Amino acid sequence: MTDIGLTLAHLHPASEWTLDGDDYAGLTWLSDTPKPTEQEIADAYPVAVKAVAAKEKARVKALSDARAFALSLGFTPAMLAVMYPQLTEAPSE
Amino acid sequence: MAVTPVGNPYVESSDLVANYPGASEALAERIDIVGVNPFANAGARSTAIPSPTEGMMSSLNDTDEVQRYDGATWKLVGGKVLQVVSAANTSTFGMASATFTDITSLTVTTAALASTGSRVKITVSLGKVSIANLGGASAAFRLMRDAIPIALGDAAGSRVLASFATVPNIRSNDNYGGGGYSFTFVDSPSTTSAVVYKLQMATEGGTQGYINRTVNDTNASPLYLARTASTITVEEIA
Repeated sequence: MTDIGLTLAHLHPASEWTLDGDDYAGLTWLSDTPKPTEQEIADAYPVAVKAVAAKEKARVKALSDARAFALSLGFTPAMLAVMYPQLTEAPSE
Repeated sequence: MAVTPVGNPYVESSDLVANYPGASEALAERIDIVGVNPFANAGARSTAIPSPTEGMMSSLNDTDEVQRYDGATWKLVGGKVLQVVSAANTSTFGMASATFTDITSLTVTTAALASTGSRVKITVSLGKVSIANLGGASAAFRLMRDAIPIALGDAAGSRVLASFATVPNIRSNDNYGGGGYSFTFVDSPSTTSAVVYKLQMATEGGTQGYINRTVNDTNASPLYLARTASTITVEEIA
């Protein structure tokens, strides 16, 4: 199933819209620009998914790097859990 | 025969038998005043009590109401829920706009209100609100009566006025949605017309925001990815 919101954020990041439900029929285009067609969104979806995956990969790497750096400074995992809980977040995907 | 005293000005053991009719009438009149007298409806009551006295009580069988005469009109004793209207969004809602925009699925229209004195209790419950990470982005919500925002915070400089707002998304993971939110407000619309109540939403910088799902909405089983339901419920209180 195409994630329309996720795709629009990638395809038209500055656009304004609302989406009732998960289907194209629920998409209301608020911007002055032309409303993308269902096909355009479907075509852009795989690219958007790759972009989200790349962003997530970068996020996980940044977390891992930050955690390794903090440990090298002498912080313990218990200290990190209290002081920087984001560094203990589990990867989501 | 022994007579049980019931207190002045009613029949007592010392009363003469000749006084009984008058005392009985006084007792009946007193019961009319302090008792809760049942009637089929308000019309039957008006016929039976054309000139009510302040403090009189009555019950109406057609509406199951107990009313008290305040010297001018019969008024309902206590409160009563006259109507309940509710809408539920069990799907999802998404948006990208910094301008407050209607959440169409969380909109309800009442029937005509019973009186201008009716109060209306609005309860909004959002199962989950998620905002794309934009360095601490929030979403804000406004409760609307027709086209008028209600239940807003007081004006304070250039701050946006809203009914409620979310905790900023300071997590780096777009699968970590915000929590659920519940908001209640009692409105006094002062009308007998039908009223539309709805919720509007705006997101920080027009970034993506969602109700009932996370931003990434990954198809997996962890509870932080759970889809949820949201509702708006309106109750007219007499």
